[in-house]
Amino acid sequence: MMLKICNLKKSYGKIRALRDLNLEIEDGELFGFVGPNGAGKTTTIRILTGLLRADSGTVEIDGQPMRCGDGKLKEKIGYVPDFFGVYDNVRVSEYLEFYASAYGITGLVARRRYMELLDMVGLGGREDHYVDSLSRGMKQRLGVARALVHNPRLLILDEPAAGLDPRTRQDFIQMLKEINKCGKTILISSHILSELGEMCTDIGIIEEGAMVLRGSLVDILAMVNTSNPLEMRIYKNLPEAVALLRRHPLVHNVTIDGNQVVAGFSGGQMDEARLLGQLVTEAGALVGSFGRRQGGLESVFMQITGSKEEKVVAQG
Amino acid sequence: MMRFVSHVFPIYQKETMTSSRTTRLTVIVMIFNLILALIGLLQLQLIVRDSGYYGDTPYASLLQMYTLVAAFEAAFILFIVPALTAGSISGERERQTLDILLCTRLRPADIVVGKLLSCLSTAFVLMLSSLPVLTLVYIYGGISVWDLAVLFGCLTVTTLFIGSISTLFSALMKRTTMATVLSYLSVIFVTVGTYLVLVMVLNIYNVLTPNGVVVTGETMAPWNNLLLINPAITFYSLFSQQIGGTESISMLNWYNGYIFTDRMLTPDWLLLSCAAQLALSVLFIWLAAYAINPLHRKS
Repeated sequence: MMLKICNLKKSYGKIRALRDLNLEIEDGELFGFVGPNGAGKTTTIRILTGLLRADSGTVEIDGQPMRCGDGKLKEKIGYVPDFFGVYDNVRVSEYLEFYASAYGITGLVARRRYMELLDMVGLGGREDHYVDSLSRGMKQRLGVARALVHNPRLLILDEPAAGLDPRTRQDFIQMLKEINKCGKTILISSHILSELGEMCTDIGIIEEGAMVLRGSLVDILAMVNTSNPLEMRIYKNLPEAVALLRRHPLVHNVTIDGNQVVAGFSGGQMDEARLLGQLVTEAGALVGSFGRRQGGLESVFMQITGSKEEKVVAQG
Repeated sequence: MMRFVSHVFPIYQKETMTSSRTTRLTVIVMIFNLILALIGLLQLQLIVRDSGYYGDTPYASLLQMYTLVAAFEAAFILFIVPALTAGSISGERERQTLDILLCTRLRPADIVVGKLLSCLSTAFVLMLSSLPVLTLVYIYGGISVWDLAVLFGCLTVTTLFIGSISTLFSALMKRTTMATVLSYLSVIFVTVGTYLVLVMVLNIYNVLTPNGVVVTGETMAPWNNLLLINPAITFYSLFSQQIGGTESISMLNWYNGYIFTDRMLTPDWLLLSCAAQLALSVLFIWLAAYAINPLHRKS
């Protein structure tokens, strides 16, 4: 277990930023941490990086309980904030050398390390460039190299792709996947859900300081899709089929658009199969397609965070 | 020692490297030495001219040249140190690099000390660059190498003292502008304000004591210790001891020896003054480190 958060609480005055947050991230995971603004993502990350003290709860990193200001534990974490701060008059190599020396890595070892990292993040050959002359995308890559300079086991990124153009964002995602393949556990927070869907092995959705949904992307989509409406295309006996749907106790809100029918359905997968059978046998409908509307991560997010009543808690 | 090198040196090295790449340090050193040279050479010119008139070398004027140059050096240090240090922490905050630094193995105290040492280096550059002008006085003698060493020691203490005050404000304020303003106000307070506080205390005593009862020097003695943190008095004490033969410091006093006393001309005062300023420097460094520690930060 790379990261284990138990009952983490944090309040800012009367505002409760985190309320019993629980989270577990396995070694080697690429975990997407999703939530609307003010949900508690950054608060969680700041506690993990030692920049904030939790009111209560425990955090374990790589099996070791986290104590505030623990230098040894800090060496296990690499942190990339959402904004890249730049020092004037510093070259890329000097920037990385400085942070390497902050972790006690100096001389040839540091040089070899940052040269490897620059190649890894696609900035090879730019070691003599001044940091403030780099583009935003390059600066973010340099930020990742900086966070990896001491070879941490856990890399934490707080909305790293914010402000990047789509092409640069894609390259950045690819780079993170490569870093993940090298054995680094990554926790990435973002509100751009589509990019998390592309790269993350697991997703956690946080709202109002608590984890409301946690699991693999496939599981989450399947779980949430059961509350999506049924979509069917009916080519024969449409009126009879619609009448049957409106009579059905599990069906609600039937809408028709040509031969496309959309209906809310509160049953499970077996109920879906029975309904399909009834449409074919009782209404004599010729059904071209039948199934739940497939929701993307965006719709999952909206569904989870949009209405408290519809929250699905699926820890673990 | 190893811990100091591995934890403080990265910050010190980075600060020194980045500041030496700008023209700021060059300009500061140039202006500083230009003014020092002007003061020194003009004074020397006067001495040479006077010796032509009177047929002898006025040694008092030579020593006056030393005092003048050294006093200017001290005043320049008082003026320049807040500018060098007031942005040290707030600048990191404005660049949004402070959090990244705090996420590393470095402790808040390492960051503060590293930055202060970098400022001290700049002060040393100024001191060393002023040596040629200061040693003009060696042409005729009167000031020893030991005197120069003590002067540099006092300048170092003043740099640390003022630097630590400015660093504390830099740690407390979000904006460098505000930290700079407060730092300069603090310099004014320790050099002028401490004296004004004593004048106020003396006046309060005078108002409160019954008619006919005179406030004595003994009454004011504990309050006079406030001037231990006044670098201007420290340097006055130093120069008085080094060049000797000056009138009592109480000559300066508008309050019959109650505020400025002869005690301020003793080596004990100089030592106590430096010790007090060093102790306060340590306190301010600790407070600055406490202020930037994220775990003590108000969210």
